[in-house]
Amino acid sequence: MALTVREVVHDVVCDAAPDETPILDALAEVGDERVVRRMKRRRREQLGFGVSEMAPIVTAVVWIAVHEFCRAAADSSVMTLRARAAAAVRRLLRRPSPELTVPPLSPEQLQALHGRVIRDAVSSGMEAAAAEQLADRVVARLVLEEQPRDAEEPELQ
Amino acid sequence: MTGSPRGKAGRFREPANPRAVPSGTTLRFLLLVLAMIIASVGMLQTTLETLAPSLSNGYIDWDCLYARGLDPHAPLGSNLHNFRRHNWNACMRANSYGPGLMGTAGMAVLALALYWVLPRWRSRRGGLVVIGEQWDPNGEIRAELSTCVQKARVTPPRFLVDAAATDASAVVFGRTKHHTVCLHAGLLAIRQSAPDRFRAVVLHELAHIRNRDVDIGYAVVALWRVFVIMVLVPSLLIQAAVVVNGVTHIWPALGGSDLLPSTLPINTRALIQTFFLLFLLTLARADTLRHRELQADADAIAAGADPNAWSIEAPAERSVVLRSLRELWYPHPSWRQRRRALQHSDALYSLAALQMFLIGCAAPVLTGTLRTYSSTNTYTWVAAAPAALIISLSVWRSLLHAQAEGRPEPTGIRSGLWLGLGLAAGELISQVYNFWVWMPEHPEFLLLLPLAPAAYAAWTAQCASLVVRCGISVRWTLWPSVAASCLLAGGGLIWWNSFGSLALTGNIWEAIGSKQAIQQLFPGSWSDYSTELDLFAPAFWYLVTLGGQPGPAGAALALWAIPLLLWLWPQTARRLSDSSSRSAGRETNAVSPAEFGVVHAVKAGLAGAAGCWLAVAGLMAWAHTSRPASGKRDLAFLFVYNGWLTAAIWAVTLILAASVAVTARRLPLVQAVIAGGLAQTLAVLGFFAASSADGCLGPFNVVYDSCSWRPRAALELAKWLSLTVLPALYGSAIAAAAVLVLAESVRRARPGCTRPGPDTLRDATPGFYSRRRRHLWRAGAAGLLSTAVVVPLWSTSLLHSGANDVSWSVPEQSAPANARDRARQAGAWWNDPSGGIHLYYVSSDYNEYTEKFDTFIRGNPKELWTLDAPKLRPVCRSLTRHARQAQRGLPFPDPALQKSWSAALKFTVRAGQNCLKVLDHPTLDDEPVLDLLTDGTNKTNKIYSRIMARVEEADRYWPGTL
Repeated sequence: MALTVREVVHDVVCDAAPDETPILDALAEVGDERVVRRMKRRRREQLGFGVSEMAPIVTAVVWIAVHEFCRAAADSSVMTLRARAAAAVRRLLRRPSPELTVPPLSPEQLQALHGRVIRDAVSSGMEAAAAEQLADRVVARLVLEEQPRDAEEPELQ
Repeated sequence: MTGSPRGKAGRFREPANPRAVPSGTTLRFLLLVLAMIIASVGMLQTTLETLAPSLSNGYIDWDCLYARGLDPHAPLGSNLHNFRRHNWNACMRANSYGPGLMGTAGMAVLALALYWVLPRWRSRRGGLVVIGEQWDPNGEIRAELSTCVQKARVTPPRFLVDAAATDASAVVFGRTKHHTVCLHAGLLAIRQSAPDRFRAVVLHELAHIRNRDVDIGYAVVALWRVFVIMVLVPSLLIQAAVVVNGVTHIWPALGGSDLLPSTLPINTRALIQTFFLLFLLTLARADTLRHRELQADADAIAAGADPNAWSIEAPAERSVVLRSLRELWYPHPSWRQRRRALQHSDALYSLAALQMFLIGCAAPVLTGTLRTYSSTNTYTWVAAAPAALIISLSVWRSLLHAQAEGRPEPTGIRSGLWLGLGLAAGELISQVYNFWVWMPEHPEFLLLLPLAPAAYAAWTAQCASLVVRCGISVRWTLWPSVAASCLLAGGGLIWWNSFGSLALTGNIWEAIGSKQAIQQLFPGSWSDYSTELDLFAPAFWYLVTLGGQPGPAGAALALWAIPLLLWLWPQTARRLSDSSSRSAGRETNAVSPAEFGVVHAVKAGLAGAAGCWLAVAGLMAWAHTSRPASGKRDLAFLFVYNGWLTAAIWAVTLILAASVAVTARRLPLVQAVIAGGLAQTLAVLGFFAASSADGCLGPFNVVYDSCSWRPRAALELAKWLSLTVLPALYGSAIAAAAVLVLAESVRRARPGCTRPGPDTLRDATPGFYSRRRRHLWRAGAAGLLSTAVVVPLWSTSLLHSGANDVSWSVPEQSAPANARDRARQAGAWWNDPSGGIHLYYVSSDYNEYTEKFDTFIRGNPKELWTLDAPKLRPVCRSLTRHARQAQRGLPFPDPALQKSWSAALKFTVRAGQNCLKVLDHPTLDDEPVLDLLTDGTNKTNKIYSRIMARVEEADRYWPGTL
């Protein structure tokens, strides 16, 4: 069974920011696409306070970066009209989208993802060292996936 | 006008707390809701009628109007003249607006449902969880929230966390008594590192609950969404389709195209009006929501939030224009606006120029729409009252705030001017009386419009200032004063809607025969006073509408009576205050009467009265020399005499008001009005005394030659004079406002002037007096003032030029110059149930007579002819009846053809009557009857063919109309 983006995020968050696990629990029932879209949303809501900048949340940084990276790698071909329509209907009906899995990633892609995580983390307000450490963890988790997963699976569950 | 801020509250002075006055944002929301409801009735009605013509019970029957001589290309005056001749009311069908009202009710129900469902829908969104042990193992967050709730003094709401929201923010939603504060995960993430920010955000959200923003804001959002989807978008599409159809004729089912070109301005204006309404509502909604945010910020800080939490750097905007537009359009204020509002809280306590402009725009658009629903003015108050209330309250708030902050008091002039500009723009869009033309005949009068609201706002501000200065309890005087200024504003708006805006259409009074009405009211030898009649007639009717009706007349009295009352009221209290403070040896806020300048006003009023008496005496002496012989001093003479007296007192009052406003140090407008009121009251009293003694005054005798005391006759004359003189109080207020505008512009235009302006935050902002703005202000003020001077002079010269060709009869309507309009009128007349059908009947009767001529006579040869009475009688009877009906029917719209047609009918009636007479008395000679009938046939055939040629043109120009 392929590793999902959600599993990667879960593992990294449990490791790097265990106090953020309530976020993961709260979003357990929400589809990946929806989570990422809402995490990225920047708008001033009516009767809101009006801050639109992202706070330094490890979960959000990792989830957005890994999801978008994996989505781009998987969807190198253009998304068909039908798929788009299906996604739109799912969004409208608030149905969860199928979980996104991590495709096999080349060392160059991993390197790029590493850079992306650092960038996002720093722009959300994390310190450079912490951002680098976080990027290392993400890449380490993905590289680990290349190894046989028999020993890890019980731990994940 | 500025007043030196006084110290802390004294014994007889309430602490001037601006928050004691309602902020008016709830009222602004109410106005928004009203605007949507009022607009939706008409829009839904039009949309439903267009989609389902069976629902139509159209308000205006265009065919009916055309049949009665409507000429869309003629000035309104000549059309109104027609209105007097024919009963046009028949064409203005009373519209029940049933479908529109039902649709609006449906919209309200849907909005209510949406209001109910929206919070539930929102709470069901995934990722929203209650703050439990997992999020807050030590209970710190919950304790903090509980502290905030106590500080904000609100009923504890439900707190949720939005796990997917990564910004350090929060949002509040829900409905009445079911509020939810949703904290974003990002906010919880920064709680440890920035506890002040966390507290500020929570207090800001709780302030929204306390200010009832959630209840009202979401209700408006629900209504807005339903309004846009259900009403606005369909209405825009339909109106656009009707306009396009009018030009291209591609959708015959839509109708309306056959009315071109006359309805092109109407349809296009309807479309523009809808767009304008959309624009207006969007801006007003965004602005009101922004104001709510600023208020919540201020409340959060008042509840203990750290102001540094607002020091967030927003990304710099590249273009200033773009930034300004964004700030105008967005319902959430920018960080720049929020910080500025926290530094200078004026924005929270006064209405900015934009808000005044929007309220000004909304008023005529809404009242114009309401007037189409009902001809009475009662409904106008529905829109006028909240608008006036918002403005009055805001003037009070800004004044109290300025006092509390120790800033110069607002004059209200600038706000009033913006309000007036809004009114002018709204008037141009709505155009109640000129709806079928692109522009009114005299749009220059719109430029004068801003001065009246400026006077109104300045009067309200100065009355409020008087209340505060006198040390009267704000609690007790606020609502009566606000009610008075609301009545003034509402009454003014209704007067403008009903009469004032007629000025835009030119000299409308003449068109509807005002001079004839005056001649009937005041019979006499008018041929001696033709120039005076031309001069005074239009002004007389305007003055009557102002001074002769209880509402406007009462308001004019209130203009000077209320400030005078306010001044007189605390006298005793102040004296007590003075004596008690003297005895206690402590400082007091009690002020001397001279400080209000009312003594100055009274002195000026007495001087003005002396001026008026001099003018009246001069006029009496002049009237004595030029008066007619004793038997000829009729009502016409008295009308002219009264006209000159009115003109003289008006002139003195206006000059007095302007000079008082120039010289007054404090409350210039109030002083000007008090002086004017005093002067004219004393002038009328003096005139009454002089008229009572008329006959004993030697060279000043006007009406009588014998000396006697005649108080009764003098009272009638004085009442008449007071009626025409009373509106001069409005004139004096406007003159004073004009002086204040001039003073303000001079002050602003003076280089190096750094004193903060009075009215709004923008005034107090550094850099406001930039060179460009100074020039703009100077140019605008100069333009306004020159218009204020030039337009009345110009209109007077127009009257003079018209005085040479006096026409005593109501001008005859001529046929439209446009062939298409002529044809349209003919076609409509032909189709009208009281129009062409009579021509058809009369013509048919003659045809029957001609065709069956042989059967009507007996005997041969011609010399032996005798009439066959049983056969001919029905024809003659029918002919007489039909001709009489036609005489009572609708005249043909072209006067030349109508003349022939009318002559033919007269002839026919005579022929028919003679025919019946001869048949009833066989002894009479029957030959002339046959000649008459034959002549009648010829005449009728001739006019029939001329009219039918015109009617056929209608079919050519307007296929399908017949």
